[in-house]
Amino acid sequence: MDADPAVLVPALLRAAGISPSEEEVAAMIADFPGRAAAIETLYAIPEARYEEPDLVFRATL
Amino acid sequence: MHLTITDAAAALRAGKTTSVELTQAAYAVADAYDGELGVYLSRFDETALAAAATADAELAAGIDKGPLHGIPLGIKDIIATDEGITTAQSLVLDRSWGDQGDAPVVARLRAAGAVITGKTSTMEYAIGIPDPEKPFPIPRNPWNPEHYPGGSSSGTGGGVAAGMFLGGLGTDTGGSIRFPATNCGITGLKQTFGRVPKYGCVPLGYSYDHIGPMARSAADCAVMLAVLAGHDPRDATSVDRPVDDYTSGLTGSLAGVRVGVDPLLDRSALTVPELAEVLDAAVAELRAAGATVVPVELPLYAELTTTTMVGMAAEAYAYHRPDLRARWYDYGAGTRMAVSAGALIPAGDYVQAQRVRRVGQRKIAELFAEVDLIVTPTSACGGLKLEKLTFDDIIDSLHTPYWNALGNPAMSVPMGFTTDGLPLGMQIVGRPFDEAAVLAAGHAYQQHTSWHLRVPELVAHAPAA
Repeated sequence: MDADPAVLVPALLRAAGISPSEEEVAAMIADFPGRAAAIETLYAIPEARYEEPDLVFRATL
Repeated sequence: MHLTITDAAAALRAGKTTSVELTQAAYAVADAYDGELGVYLSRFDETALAAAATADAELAAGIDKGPLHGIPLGIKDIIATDEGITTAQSLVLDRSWGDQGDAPVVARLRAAGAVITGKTSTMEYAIGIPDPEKPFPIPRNPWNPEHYPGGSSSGTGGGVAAGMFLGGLGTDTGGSIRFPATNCGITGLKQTFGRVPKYGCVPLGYSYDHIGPMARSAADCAVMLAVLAGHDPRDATSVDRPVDDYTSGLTGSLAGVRVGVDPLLDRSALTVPELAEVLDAAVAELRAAGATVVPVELPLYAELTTTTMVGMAAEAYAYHRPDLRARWYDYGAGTRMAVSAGALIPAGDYVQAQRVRRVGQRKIAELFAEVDLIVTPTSACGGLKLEKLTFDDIIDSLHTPYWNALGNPAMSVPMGFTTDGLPLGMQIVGRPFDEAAVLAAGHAYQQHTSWHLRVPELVAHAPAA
């Protein structure tokens, strides 16, 4: 993800309506690139290209 | 009070003890050490002793409900019980949530004659790290109270190790049964996803959560699972299939069993040097029990671990968002930071994680065509020091979240100690719904070793049952 975490993280938190302290937001900004990089590896798995997600949905309760 | 459930059940039937004596001894240990170890959030002395007296009367009258009859057990305080409030060790959880009464797992234990002694400490909402700023006990490791007992099923782990009950329930979303099991030197099983219903349990990650047994031995976990397993339609992910016989296969032999071993030594910066030798010795015992051992490499290790962390955060966030908005500072710092990570994960990435889980299931099934069981260390090290504890270090040290992505049954059994005297665990994993093979391997290992019977020095002279 190319967006600047220092911009993106506070924006996402605002959108979510949650208000951490400045220190906590700074920690989230610091953590963000590592998580984003780990998530990117999930898109690099060839076998996942046409795989279905393991989600639970049933037409009846 | 350091009996296994199996030994206590035999002693009850031999007239060598009573359920009331077992329960009183368990509470005596708690009276002596709970102030230091932070095991209980609430105790049910009156109802437990009444249940124990009933069990004694029933057994005397020839009414035998099975091996849990009259056995004192602790329940992690994110699981509802008839006796009182469930807190999830949080100021946030609505105190009326637990008014529904016994969760199915608790009802099943009670129907089997178990004595419910109380509710045990947890990380808040089963995630995060201990928070000294909140009005809840800090769980400490009975092997060294300056160290973490593991979490989030901290109280059940520490309580079994200390002898405050003979077994109990934990929950496991990324390792929260196996982590305190390894740190506290006891046995803990995360069975196949869906095998045990989780209705009546505060959710963390809906598609990763498990409720499972924690006790001294694999045989004890087997008798508990036999009671816990089975379909309940109130849990959408509960699986409707017959429950296997988990105890008849506890023969002590692994003849003909193929075990794949992945030491995972380079997967954590926190790996202690002695881990390799301790694991080698444990694997040698499996070989001595008759197993054929081959090296394996877990497929997509980092990626599947990521899918657990991403999926758990996203699913937990959906549950917590209203309270995170309204009551941010009522949450503990570790919990609110871990759960709010879900706000930063795009929906598409969550779905991609679920696609990768499916790929992982195919790859691990291919590996399980070559071996019957897979063995790894449960964790890279012993319990971390409480004063330096971080959530990142916990995640880095654990080899458990991988299996929550896949759903396979995975059990931690004690396999030795670090040079600092802290327990280490071996993780034994089987094919989906093959808990019987996992338990049989753990039992065979424990017939050749006595790590699971070791008692922390702190409580070694506690009142005996």
